[in-house]
Amino acid sequence: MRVTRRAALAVAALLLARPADAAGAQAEDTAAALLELIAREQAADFAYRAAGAPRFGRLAQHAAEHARALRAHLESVGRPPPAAPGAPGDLGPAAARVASAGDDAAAIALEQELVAVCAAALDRLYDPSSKRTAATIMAGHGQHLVVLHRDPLQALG
Amino acid sequence: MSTRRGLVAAGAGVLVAGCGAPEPIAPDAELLAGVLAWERALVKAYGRIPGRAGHELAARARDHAAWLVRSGSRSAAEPARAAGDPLEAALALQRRSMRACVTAVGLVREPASRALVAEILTAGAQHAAILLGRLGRDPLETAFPDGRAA
Repeated sequence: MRVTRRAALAVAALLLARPADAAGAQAEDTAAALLELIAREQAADFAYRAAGAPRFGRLAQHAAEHARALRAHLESVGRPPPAAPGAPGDLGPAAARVASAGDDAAAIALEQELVAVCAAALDRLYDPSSKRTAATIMAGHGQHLVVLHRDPLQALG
Repeated sequence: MSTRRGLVAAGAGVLVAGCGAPEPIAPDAELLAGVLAWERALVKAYGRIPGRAGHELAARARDHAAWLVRSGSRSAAEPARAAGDPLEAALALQRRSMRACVTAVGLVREPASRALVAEILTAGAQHAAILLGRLGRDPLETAFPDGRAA
């Protein structure tokens, strides 16, 4: 009898703990996805500014706005933002190519990568607001592709 | 403008996360039907734009409608009719579709539905940028294209 009651209590404790664990895992995954997105946007901002081409000015400005909006979501799950890149060596390959080559082909490759990163992040974000922010950021990178192509219709997938 | 919108969107996220205020959730099919109605309207609206651009954009809107139907969406709503300047009318409808996508992307439950509306939103933002360029306006009017005019 004692054993049975103890076992029942243990099961009850497990059942109670599982939702908390699930919520914790969701928060962890949301934070990880936001950290990834912020790092990518900060890298894009750095790369466009490093390239120095005037036509990249708006793209850098948008990337900075994206990072700022995402940081607010990250703060809501109690996490500090990632460090911004301080040198070209801190960038991933696509952003590094923009910073060094500074041409439209490199920028198109970076923007395509950012669209894909946002798409992949959507299912990892927990609340509707952060999903919407990520989706509109994804759409913003889609618009960047339009202005980077000489023939805007070529930007359409 | 873009900055303010971004901060407002971010602030809304903080509020939702902080208060846990639930949004009313419609079934996925109902949320997708809202997008489908606008994409069907866009097929007609883009058909009024002469040349390659109209042809290409109408084809994309037709694809979107077909994808939505294949995903189980049904809409009995009569597509809105475009009137007036073809570019302006198409832009207005495109923005309505984008707003429906933004609503849906936060609420749909199925990952496949979320991926679909995010893709249609991104394509819609590209179409809007093309239309804005043809109208002689800024194609990058906001960093967060959500269908609201900047």
